[in-house]
Amino acid sequence: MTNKTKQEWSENCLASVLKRSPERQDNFKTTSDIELDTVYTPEDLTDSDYLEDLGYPAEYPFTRGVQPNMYRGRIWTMRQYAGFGSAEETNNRYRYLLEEGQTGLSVAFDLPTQIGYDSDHPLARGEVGKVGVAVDSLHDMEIIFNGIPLDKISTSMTVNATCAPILAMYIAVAKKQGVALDRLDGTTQNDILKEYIARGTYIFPPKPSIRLIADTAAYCSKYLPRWNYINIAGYHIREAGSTAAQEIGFTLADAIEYVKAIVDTGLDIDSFAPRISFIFQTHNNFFEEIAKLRALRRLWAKLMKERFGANNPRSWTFRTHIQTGGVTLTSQQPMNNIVRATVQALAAALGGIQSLAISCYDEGHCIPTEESVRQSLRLQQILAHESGITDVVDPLGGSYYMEFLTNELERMATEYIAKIDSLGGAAVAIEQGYQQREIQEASYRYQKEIESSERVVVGINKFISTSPKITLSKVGSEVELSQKNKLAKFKRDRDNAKANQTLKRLEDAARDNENTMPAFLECVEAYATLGEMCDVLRNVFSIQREFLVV
Amino acid sequence: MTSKTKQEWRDNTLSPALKRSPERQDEFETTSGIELDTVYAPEDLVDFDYVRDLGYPGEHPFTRGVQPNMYRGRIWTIRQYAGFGSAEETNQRYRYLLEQGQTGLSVAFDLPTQIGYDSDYPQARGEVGKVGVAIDSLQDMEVLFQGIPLDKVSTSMTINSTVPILLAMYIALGKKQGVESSKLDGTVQNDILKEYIARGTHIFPPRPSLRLTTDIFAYCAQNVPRWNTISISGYHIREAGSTAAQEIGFTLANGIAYVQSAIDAGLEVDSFAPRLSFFFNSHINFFEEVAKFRAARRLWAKIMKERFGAKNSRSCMLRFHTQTAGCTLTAQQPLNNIVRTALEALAATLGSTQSLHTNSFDEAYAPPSEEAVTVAVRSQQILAYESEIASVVDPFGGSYYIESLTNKLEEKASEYIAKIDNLGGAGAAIEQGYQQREIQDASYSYQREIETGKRAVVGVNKFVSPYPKVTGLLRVKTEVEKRQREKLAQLKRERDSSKVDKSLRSLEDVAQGNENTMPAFLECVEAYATLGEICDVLRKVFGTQREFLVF
Repeated sequence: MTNKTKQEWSENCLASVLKRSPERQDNFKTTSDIELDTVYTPEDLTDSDYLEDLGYPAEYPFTRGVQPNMYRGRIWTMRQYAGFGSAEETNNRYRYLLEEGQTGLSVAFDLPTQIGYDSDHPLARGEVGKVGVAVDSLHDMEIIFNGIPLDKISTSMTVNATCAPILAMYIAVAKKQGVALDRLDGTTQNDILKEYIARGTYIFPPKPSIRLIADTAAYCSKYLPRWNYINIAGYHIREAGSTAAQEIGFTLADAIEYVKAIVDTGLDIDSFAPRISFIFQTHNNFFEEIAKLRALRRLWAKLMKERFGANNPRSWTFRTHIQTGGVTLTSQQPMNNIVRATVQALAAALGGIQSLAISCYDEGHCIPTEESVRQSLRLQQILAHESGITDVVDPLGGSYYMEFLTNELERMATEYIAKIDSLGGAAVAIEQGYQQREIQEASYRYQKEIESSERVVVGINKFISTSPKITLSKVGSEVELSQKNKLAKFKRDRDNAKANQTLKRLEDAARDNENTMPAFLECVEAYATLGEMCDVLRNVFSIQREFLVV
Repeated sequence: MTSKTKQEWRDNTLSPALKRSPERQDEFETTSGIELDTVYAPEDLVDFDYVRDLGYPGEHPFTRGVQPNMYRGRIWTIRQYAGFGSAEETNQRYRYLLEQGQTGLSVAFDLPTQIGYDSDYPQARGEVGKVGVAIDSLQDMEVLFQGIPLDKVSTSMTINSTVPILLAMYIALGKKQGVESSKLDGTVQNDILKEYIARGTHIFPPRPSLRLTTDIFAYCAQNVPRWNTISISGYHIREAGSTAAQEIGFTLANGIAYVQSAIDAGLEVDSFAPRLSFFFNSHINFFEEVAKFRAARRLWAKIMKERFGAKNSRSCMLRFHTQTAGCTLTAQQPLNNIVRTALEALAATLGSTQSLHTNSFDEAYAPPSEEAVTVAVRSQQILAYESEIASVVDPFGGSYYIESLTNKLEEKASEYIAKIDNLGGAGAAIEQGYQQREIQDASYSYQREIETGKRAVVGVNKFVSPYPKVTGLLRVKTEVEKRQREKLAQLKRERDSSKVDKSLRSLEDVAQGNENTMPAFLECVEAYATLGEICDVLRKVFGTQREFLVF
């Protein structure tokens, strides 16, 4: 073994070059403010122990991945986030995506659906079918999945405050299709804490909200064993401007809060922990993003094993969906977004994720067109089938730089979690505005760097040029009207006495401490509307205003 | 240190999983036929010695890069290969590219220019200005670089058989601009061996061709010290269908032949070796490509030091340009090419390339449109400035998988080199058709894999769908040929013909003898002798080479 230290190299070789010509920047840092050395070598990993820090794939601490052979067995699920306008239009888009080779569905709901208002509510005006599909009742859900057998597909639903009634609708559709509940495969986001922190579509205060989550956890553990009833989300925290380290720290702190709340209801950790899942973002910084995913896996495994005493290895495994960074896209020169998405999707795949959605190149302008969403799918297919990156598990494992970054991110995230613990946990910290403030500051710094051109965004503050026009999609304004008419007709036609009766039952269940899921299911099957159910809950739980951050 | 072997893991964890569900393929291999294990671990690198095998950047064996801080100092040169139609049109494209933030020029010549025919030769008909710009005389070169000061830009010229003529024109142009030849910065391809192997624009037999190559080495060492006198090219070998290991092996074997021939001509290795440069392809298999670049650097450093006894560490540095793989692009669903090119460009930069060309998404149809070439340049800029991959040198270094692949590729390439040595060196092996045959075989099995669907090409044999028509395609106008001929006729009427004849005669004398031909070329081009006239002299003296038949 020959011997030469980095210090010797730095003095003899690097220093003389730096004297001749300065570097492009005074220092090089990741978004999480990790200062980067010129090169990483075995010296940077002197304390590392292969089995302890990395281990083999599918073995504790899962740094290298949760399946032993990862994508050699099955490619990640290709799951483009989609939904707009009416249930009919959305159903058409889903069938199109499945025909083009997509392997999972991901439902985007409009804002009224996300905050519990029917399409005919005054607060819904102008928002019906805009950012997602409008769902007022089981009737709409039946149309969305028309011709799509629920035992053949996995479905992810981005819904939080209204998760329980929407999940109940999905279950009701399955029953109508004759699909047994234990065959249902999919995910509901159901992560209310990050709504308070970053995303904003909450309705109720934290305590009853978390209770609804615990209800779905208990219900699914019993009846929907393959359902990921929660999808704890770093994505929106990152989109709001956090750093990568904050994204890990705040998201896992939220997860800790949920696990505690569910354990407090008396459930055994290993009965519900295996179905906890996550959604993260991949941002621009290629290596930091890969390291983030590896650090997340290791940290989650340690938390579940050491902090919560989980015994089932499946409780230790961190499984995640990724959406590439919407916030990194530009409306200028839209084709550049294909390049950004390629780099971010590659980071996700090298990070060993379970499913992936690409933010489409025209999203700076509109809801994706068929053409742009197909392009996103093709991007995934090229990565999966042409690039060869799916042939080996954790291909970057052992890279001095990668392992250094993974260690650093884990360390920084652990500090955030400790800080939140000391404030009394994620929910209390949110009430005090801690996470919101931290994210605001990080976001402010990032934006300032862009404005001062210290951080380059191609086409925005550097390399500006005109770009050819692209074809845009538009959601027709007639959606709102037709949705309202449909709703009015449907309320005339249903058995109103039955609907009222089930809503009364829901009110009782919400007031007592029984699991609300069966009551939701009764409501949706009696075609009570989402707005009606949420009105009941608003009445019982009250509503939460924004937490002010000063 | 806890211990558990990969075998134990395989038995306890992997096997049960495989029993439950089979894998997508029976086996996983790189293009070079390297069989891939499920995962790589420290035990795959038991003989590994950090300083010996990797070393620090800027130090032997240069596995981690030739500069100590790589892109922290300066981003790779963004250099788009461009040229079409007339010198005027191409000049406009260059100015456009420089405005868009391109940092170096790269000249594509049309076929007649590459094989030594003027635009008015019968052999040139239909080809003038097609795949590159038509250059008949110094006059065209003057137009080509109009308004571009040669001391402010570095220029790469993809030219081989006719390289001394084009280089002489560039030097003459520098003189006219008042730029001394010692200030000129750039590269000529000047790699004739790979023309015999794969690309096909050779004129003369190997021996006089190599002599011209060596003349350039010697002349530039004296007069154009910053010029890269050769760009030994794996690119076309790969495009012709070779594997990654063949690309390294055959290219470095060609490199060895050039070094040997220069040494045989009496040059001292350290006097010319620092100006040798390389040109590789970046293909679609992401990790194999990154490993390829690292293996090529380590292997070349060893060859120069151990085989040729180079003392100057600069002689041991493999510096290279990369172009993303044209052959991986598809005419179907052209925007998919943006994805492929981005991946290939990323592999090149993670492999520490010195300069990079990214293909444009419409290249399966036409020379790139302005829109498409802009996206190609933007791709590089996004990698350079947004993805922050340029902050750390050799970021993959130490990865069990990458180091294993690097070792295996080096090993396989060394075997090819040994085989070629056995056959008597690259020149002799080419005459026997060895490399050509190997590439044909590799190309055949690759194509078959695509045809049988074993190898997926998205949009071609999988995920086929209709796609919108590409618009704004660039078409080379047919009047280019006519205009070029008229210009040539006028030049011939107006120039001092006796001076031309005299310079051509003196070139003939020099070519027949042993002295360096470069000064004579310079005299010819400055007298406005045409490329065709100059090459006719050489064809007479050197003879021409037909294709080497391969069975």
